Amino acid sequence: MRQTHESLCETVEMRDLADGARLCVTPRAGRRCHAVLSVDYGALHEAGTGRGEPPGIAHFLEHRLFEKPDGDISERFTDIGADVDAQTGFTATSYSVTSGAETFPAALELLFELAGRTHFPEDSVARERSIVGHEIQLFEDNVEWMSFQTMLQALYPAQRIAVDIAGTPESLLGIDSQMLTRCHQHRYHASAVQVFACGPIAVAELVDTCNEALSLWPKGDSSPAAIHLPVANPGVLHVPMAVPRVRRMLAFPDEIRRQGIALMRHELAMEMTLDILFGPGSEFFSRHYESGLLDGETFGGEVHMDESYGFCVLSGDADDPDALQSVILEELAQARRSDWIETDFERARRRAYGDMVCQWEDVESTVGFLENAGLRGCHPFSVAEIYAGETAINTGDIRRCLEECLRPERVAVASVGE
Amino acid sequence: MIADNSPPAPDDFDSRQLVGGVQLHVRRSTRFKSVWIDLFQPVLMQPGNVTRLALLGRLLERGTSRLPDLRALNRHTDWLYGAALSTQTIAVGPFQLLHLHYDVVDQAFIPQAEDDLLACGLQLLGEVLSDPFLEQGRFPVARVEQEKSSLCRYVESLYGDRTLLAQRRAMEQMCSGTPWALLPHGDPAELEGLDGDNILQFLQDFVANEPVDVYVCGDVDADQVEALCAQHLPSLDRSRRSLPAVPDLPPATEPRHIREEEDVSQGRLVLGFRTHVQLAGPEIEYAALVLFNLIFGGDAHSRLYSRIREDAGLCYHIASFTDPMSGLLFVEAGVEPDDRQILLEQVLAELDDIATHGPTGPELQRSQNLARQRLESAEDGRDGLVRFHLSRRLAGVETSRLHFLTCLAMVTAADVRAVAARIRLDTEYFLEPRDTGD
Repeated sequence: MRQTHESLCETVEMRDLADGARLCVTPRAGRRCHAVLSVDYGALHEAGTGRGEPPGIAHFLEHRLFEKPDGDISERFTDIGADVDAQTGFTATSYSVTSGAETFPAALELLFELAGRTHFPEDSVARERSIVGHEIQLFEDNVEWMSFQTMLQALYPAQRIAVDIAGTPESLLGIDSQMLTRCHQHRYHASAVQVFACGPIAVAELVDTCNEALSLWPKGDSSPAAIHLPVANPGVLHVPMAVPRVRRMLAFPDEIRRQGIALMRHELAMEMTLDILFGPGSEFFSRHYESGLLDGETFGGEVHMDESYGFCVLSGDADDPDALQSVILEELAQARRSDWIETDFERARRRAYGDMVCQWEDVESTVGFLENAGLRGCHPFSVAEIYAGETAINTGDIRRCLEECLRPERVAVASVGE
Repeated sequence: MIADNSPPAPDDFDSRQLVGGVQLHVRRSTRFKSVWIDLFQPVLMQPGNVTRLALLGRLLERGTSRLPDLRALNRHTDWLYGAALSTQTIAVGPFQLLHLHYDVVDQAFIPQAEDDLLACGLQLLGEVLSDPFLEQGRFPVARVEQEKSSLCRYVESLYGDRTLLAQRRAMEQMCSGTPWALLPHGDPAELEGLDGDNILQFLQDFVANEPVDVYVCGDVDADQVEALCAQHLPSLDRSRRSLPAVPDLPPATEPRHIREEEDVSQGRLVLGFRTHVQLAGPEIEYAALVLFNLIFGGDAHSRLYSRIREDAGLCYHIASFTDPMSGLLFVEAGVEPDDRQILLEQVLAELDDIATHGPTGPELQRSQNLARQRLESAEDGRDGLVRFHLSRRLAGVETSRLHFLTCLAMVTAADVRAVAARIRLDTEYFLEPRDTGD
């Protein structure tokens, strides 16, 4: 199915691939192509140590898939002038490639081989444990990462989501070659695959390339992997770290489960709410920037929404983190009684609209847009409709964010610093 | 395939000189959804001045007489469909540049827009430079003080990144007394003597006299952009200082070995080498250095990565990179103190191997493919094109991107070997975990 969006001047083509896999492409002129192969298997799908999937195995698997009988497959990408990368998230693992137009079919074949073909000799599994161990340790010096991890522990204590996606040095000890093979067979099947691509691409050829590559994939059962649904239990957590100033992070759980376009709409509403109340154009930001309470470089909000979890975060460095926290919570309490949302809505919407248009600019961000929509089961153009037009987002959506999610009494508090 | 087969233009930009020595570089392309304006004013980094300019960059972002504070500025750009304005100071080799950036969605995608979004941008940049918000002719004292403390905090927080801290310390040791030893974000120790009045004086001289390069990329007409620049940019009527030459590094000495302690959970090793090859030198030599770096440690297929990280498992992270204007090459790695010596030996052994035997055929081929691929695909974006063009202008080199592509293809294994053979270790710097006596 091919559709064109008039005002964005873009085309999207969706195709079903073999064995339940799906493809979503935006063809356009240019020199480079970018594609993401996404597998519906992430940290929250891991069944647990007792069931052969200890915490960190999704990420470990992603790392180990790069090794093939003839060496590191990334060298073969480089040989044809393509750049490959991979990432493990809470609910998906994605493998991405960027290449010139003429090598794109070969690059995509390699991408399917990367994710689909296993080779796990025991000695390299052992070596990987030490590499990932280093990686976990290296991140412990990173303030951003530490505060995010601490926030997750404060918001979802003792649940999988609060453990590093890469696992812990202890949880990795149990991983061996057999376990990786079983996990791959069980989780990496065609029906869990979605491919998103953008660039000078002939879609019919791409469909053939994908189907041919998929025919070599393991034929597993096609029941979707079950997810650990995180349950929020907000608390307060402090982690000592040698940094000049404390990083304080406040997190608000969103406990209403949404799907599809309702989820996308809610996510945008959440982002606009944070922009209106705390963004660089807000009264709050300028007042507390002028007073020195808020640090302009680090202060900001983030929204993390998915079918299985949802929360939003406000954070920043502060000399007086308690004072910063209390003005944020007061602002939220006041916002419910004010008309700020209504008076500032159009500014925030215009900003969001411009940002959305610009996401269609380069091949990577376009694929990001397709992926974001596709993983929630939405057509990318339906998502674009949330930003403008008759069915677009409205002030009622924003009010709901205030009432349902940004509740001072449900805040989780994380601090990193002295 | 609908690949773009139009022959590439000989240069990426339509460059023209405006009155008074302002250079305008326009890239017209229908490939983008937005228009970017980047204005640069370069000077050589000097003690004292770096901090003054860094502080100035921060003050300019605080408001103009029309849009007097942060909130007014931000709301104005939000209203222009999420346009972005930023002013910052950056380093390119020994240069510190005041960099003003404005980007805005292309009007073609906002049929209902009532403003001319491109003109709004040039107007805003002109105001930021020539009409900052003043109270009774001065920068408000409170603002100057706020930006001083933000600058301090920012520089402190930069060093929260231990890898960056180790790199800076190594650079300071290797290039002491030269612009390379300085940070474009300023030095907190130099803030004391600065106040709103001397900053304002500095601004007026700087804006009027230092060279200006303006890059505009998007679906725009160069003549129209030129007219808008003439209308909105300040001091176009006077002649400006010319670009200073790239200074020399201090003479090489015996290799130095420096160890310092910090609160880090993992040691950071930085090795600084002199390559004796510079951006401004012979093109083939420089192209060979680019390829050498990719083969050695500049990419995920490189020797350092595949042999030291993957095969030997000595570290999680290892990479090499070059500073093109000085001809310095750095290797940096996260490593346990016990593994430092063996890591150093292995890095030197890889260097020695390339210097003795040259790269293998497949290694050279792969690095050429990768470099070509990256340079060709730069035209799908703007950052890369602007950076390529600007750094060569600053180095006084007239190589176009397309010409450099042909140079890369001409490099032989013997060229890479010859470049490797001249590389010498200058400084080994190790930032090690503090011994807590546990």
